[in-house]
Amino acid sequence: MTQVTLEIDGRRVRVPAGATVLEAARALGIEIPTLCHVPGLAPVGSCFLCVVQLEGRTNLSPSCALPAAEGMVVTTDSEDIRATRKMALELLLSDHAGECSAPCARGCPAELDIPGFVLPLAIGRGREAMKVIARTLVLPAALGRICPRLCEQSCRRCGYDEALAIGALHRHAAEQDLAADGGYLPPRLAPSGRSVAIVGAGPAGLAAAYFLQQQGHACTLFDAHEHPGGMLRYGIPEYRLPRAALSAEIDLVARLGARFRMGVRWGEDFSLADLRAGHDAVFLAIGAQRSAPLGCPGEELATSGVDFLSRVAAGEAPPLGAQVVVVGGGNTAVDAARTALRLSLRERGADPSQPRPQVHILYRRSRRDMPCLLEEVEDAEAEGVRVDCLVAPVRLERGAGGALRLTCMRMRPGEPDASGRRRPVPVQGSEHVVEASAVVAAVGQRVDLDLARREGLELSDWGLAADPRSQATNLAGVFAGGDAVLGGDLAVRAVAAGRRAAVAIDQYLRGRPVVGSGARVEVAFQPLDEDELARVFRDVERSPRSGPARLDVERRRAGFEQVDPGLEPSAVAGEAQRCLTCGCRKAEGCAVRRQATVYGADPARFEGPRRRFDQDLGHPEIVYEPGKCIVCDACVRVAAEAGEPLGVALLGRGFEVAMGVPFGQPLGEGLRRVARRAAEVCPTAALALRTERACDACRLGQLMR
Amino acid sequence: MTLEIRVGLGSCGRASGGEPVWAALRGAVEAAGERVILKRVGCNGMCHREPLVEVLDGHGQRTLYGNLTPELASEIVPCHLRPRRPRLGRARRASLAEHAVDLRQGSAAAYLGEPQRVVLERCGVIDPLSIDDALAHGAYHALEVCLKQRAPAAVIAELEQSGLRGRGGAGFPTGRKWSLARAAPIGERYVICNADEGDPGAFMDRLVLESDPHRVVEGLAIAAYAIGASQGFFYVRAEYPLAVRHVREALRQAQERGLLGERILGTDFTLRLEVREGAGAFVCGEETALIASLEGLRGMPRLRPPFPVQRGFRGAPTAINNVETLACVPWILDHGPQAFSALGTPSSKGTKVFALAGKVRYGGLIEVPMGISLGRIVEEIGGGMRDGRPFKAVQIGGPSGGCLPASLAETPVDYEALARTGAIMGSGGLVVLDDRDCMVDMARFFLAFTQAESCGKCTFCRIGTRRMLDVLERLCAGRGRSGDLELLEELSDRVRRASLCGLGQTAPNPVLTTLRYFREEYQAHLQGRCPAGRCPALIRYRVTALCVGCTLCAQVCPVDAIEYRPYEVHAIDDARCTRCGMCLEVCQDDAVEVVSP
Repeated sequence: MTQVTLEIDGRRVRVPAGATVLEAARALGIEIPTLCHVPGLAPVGSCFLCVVQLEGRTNLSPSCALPAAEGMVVTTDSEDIRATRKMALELLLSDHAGECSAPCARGCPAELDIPGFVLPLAIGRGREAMKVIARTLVLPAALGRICPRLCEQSCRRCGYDEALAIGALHRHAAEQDLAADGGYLPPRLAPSGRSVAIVGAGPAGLAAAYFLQQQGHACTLFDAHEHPGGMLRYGIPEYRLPRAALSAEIDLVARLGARFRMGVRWGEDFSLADLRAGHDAVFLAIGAQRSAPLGCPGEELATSGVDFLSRVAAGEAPPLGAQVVVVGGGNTAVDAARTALRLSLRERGADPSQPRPQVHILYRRSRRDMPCLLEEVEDAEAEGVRVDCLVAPVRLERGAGGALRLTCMRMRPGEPDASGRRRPVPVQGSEHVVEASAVVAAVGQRVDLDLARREGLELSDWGLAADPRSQATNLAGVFAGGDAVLGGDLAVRAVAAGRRAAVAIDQYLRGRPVVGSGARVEVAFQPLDEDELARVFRDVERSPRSGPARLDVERRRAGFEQVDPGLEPSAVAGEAQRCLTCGCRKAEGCAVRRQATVYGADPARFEGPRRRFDQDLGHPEIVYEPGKCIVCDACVRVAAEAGEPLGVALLGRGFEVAMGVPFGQPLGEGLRRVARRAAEVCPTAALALRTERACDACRLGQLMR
Repeated sequence: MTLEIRVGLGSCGRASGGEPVWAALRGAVEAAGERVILKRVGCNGMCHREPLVEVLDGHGQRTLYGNLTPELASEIVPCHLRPRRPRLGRARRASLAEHAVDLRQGSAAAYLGEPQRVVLERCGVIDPLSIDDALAHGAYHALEVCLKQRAPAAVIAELEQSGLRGRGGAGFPTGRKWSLARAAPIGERYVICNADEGDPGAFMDRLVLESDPHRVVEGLAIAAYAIGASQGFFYVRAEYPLAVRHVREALRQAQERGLLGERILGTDFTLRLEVREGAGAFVCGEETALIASLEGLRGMPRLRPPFPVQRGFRGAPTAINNVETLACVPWILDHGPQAFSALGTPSSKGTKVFALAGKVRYGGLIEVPMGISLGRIVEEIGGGMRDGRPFKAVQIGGPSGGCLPASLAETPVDYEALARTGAIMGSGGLVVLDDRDCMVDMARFFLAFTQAESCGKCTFCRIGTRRMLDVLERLCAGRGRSGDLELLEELSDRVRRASLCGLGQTAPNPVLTTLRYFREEYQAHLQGRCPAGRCPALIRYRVTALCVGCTLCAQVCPVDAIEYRPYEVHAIDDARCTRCGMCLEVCQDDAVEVVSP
């Protein structure tokens, strides 16, 4: 057989005449990306991902279809080629009606695979659900109680009936799992011999320890408090998160081998330098412990909300009197108000001669801007807390009788600010005085930065400066995350930061590039039109969300009993079955997504007309989603090669070209013999095996069978 | 004295009412007896004058009547047979005379100019359905000479000497193409006539096939002889039913006369030709897609190499030539390659046929020598601009071509010179534009065509052109964004360089040339203005003080946006107005103007 010699990226290669440039490059070990190429089938050269540059030509050529020729000089990688590949992917994605992950999962800062754990729950397989949860989330039972659940706000059912009760479901899964046999412990690698010091045993530190222990690294958590849990223990009242429940989950971290050194304080008992000397890496998860001041004259007379809650959690009961004013609109404010009310009620006892305790929340913006869950506010109001919005403190003084006098002004909503909320503007002449036995400041938290500065750490506007991907600080081997970096923020973001840090620290300890967890391209649906939504909800019955019964208000006021008892066990499967199992069947195997990640393609770069979402569930083996087709022709060629009697074809012209079965026949007719192979060669999820996810007829099935 | 009357019954003639004219003449001719020969012919190219009737009297006197009605046509026979008979009133004689085209007048002379007629030599002269007529006018002479006196290599050599290049648009030297096909190893070979003419507004091939099919059959037969093929196809788009019919008839008649089939003219040369109708996909004009379509597959291009001359129809070497190219071949062999190469420029020889359209006074099919400037075509053949508006640009080469500004009017019709401007020779579309034509809209129009006609195979052609069109659509709608022009350029560059076939590789040309020569018009659109007053979203109509209150505009307005108020200055309700422009068209007093902010 004749041979030809050509040059690819400066290297000479000899291949049989008739070989393609792609094959020649692969013979040299040069990887060229492809989507439409299927080894063994005739090339079509349609996706243009495999483009290469031939010397002397301005045009780019698809290497999969280009016959290698004697003396050819080929370049397979250049800025121009990469930009072309990137744009090809961006164009394909602009016409791709699909979503890689379910919207809830995209909404979760901790990247919890929500359909992945809900599906097993729907058929009563709690341990399987727990294994999925444990891949990304630590403390799922605690978070299920207190998380503001951004996931549920993104739930596709929101526009249809009500969001799936995701938080309640993972809380239930975790509680059941703990109750069954003490809880699922993920497998651990053999000890690596490396040790990591973690400062702060709150959600970020616990998460880092949980994942680092699994990698075989020995973690020690240092914390100034008596017990681990951080803000979860000392910032969140018992009635929302019972200590016993929290301790049970923290115990899993200990059972993975993490050691806890409680009651030691950075700056007093050890320095960063000590930790760096004694450990291979350090993770700073010190939280945001300091209460922000009220920001008006007399602010020193106010009680810190964080301190107040922390002291209550530690078993102290600081008396606030019968007339408590809480300034702020976040969870700390609501927690402080409800705690204060409970304490005041307990203090008053059954003595009717004492004045009725009164607790007010003052918030400077409008109610809908309150940065906490609306149901928390409603619970507080039901218990007797009064919420006054659009009021801001101006001055705090101590009156003649020892009572506090808080001068306030009414506000009105002004122009939207950077957060999108309307900036409050004082109403002239609206000054008024509120009398109080105590004023609690819950207007935000601050990170204690003095120490960090002294230890040579770089700072940001909010806290410690850390890379958002890897959580790495400016000091080698020192990482930081959670509230310490973000300022006061959500526990779920702290948990996410802890996991990211664990990935990066593992890379660091293993001597790999410290890049953190690689972000993959996430394709989301462009807004779906009515027809598409109708297809999404085809065969979906409207069903109300299963809500747990709230504890009776009188019992709530009487103490610190848990308000939210969780889902009734009998309701769990039914609620889980409400999940639509959004997301892609080939989220893992999709070549378009993989290449888009490699080339940094932006799925949202181009907008405009696009394919419509649809699903053809009529084939017994495969599912066809024409909205995802990239017109690579692979299935057409597979069908033709196998001698399918009817086969499939590309139909139509221009932008509208789509794969279809000739003569309007059902897919089962077109792909009688090679449906599975067609789904396998499909580079995306236009054709996917039914088994790549749950049974598509009932959305639950394959697992059930 | 014998009179010959030729009636133009090509598609254009029929569309303009040629058949009633024919019927009226037939009545008159039957009454006159055998002294008159009535002949149906194709079109001579002066489509703007159809229905056309040409009268040749026995003394060589030639009279051409244009824009005829059946009534006037029925006067032709009596008028020419008995010129002085008193029955014809002076008035009727005069009105017929008004329809006579002055053949010495500039435009008509240029249209029918003798020295340039190569391809259109017999169009409008012979009866396309009569091989005898064609033979009488020299058809198949070149074929006979080739078969009996020339070796195939000598035929190819003459073609190479003539400098003939492909008229489908790309301009590949025809002789070289044939010699490549001939050089392939021994075995089956094919010839194909590409008559899948698809550019909007272009109809050169249709006219030639309708008016003189034998010329193309002869050209294809010579091609087959030259490369050694014994089978060939006419790939004609099904939207050309008359052309299909005429070619089929020509093949039948040629077969009957031994000019096709077994042992042609007693030689060893055998050739079977047949017609295949294309289903109307523009992309099937691309040769690899055309072959796929002939093979019964979906018409999708593939990467070249291998080229069809190496591996074409059924994997065999195949020479594919355009109708106009093949129509040149008999002329070259009859007149000698030097006669052909005497016309034109150093790199572009012979003549080129264009479908001249747009804002010129006389549109139609023209054949010009290569090298003539675009400006001369507009002025001398097109008769200058219609309505006296300024000449703004020419769009040459159809959807794959480009828009050249009036300042480039000196550009010659030459493959290389046109390519340097960013346009292409193309297959022969030539649209003349005036100051009321919006260049952004023009780019949008052509891109919408190519976008819809993409086979959908290549990512950049299928989606890239769509995203370009999105940008153009939003510019025309006044929703342009900063960065849009740069985005258009970036997309254009990648679509051009990363598409398999000519459709995608040239689709950005209208956009790139308008961006290059009329960028300020794009910028105006970005600011919400359409300087040409064309884009409905960016303009409004206004009645000026010149209005005399005649109510004509109010009467024609289809959406009642103008109140009916006689003798008052009218006013247009902007909210109702759909920018159809009817008011502007009907106003006798130039009192309606287009405003773009």
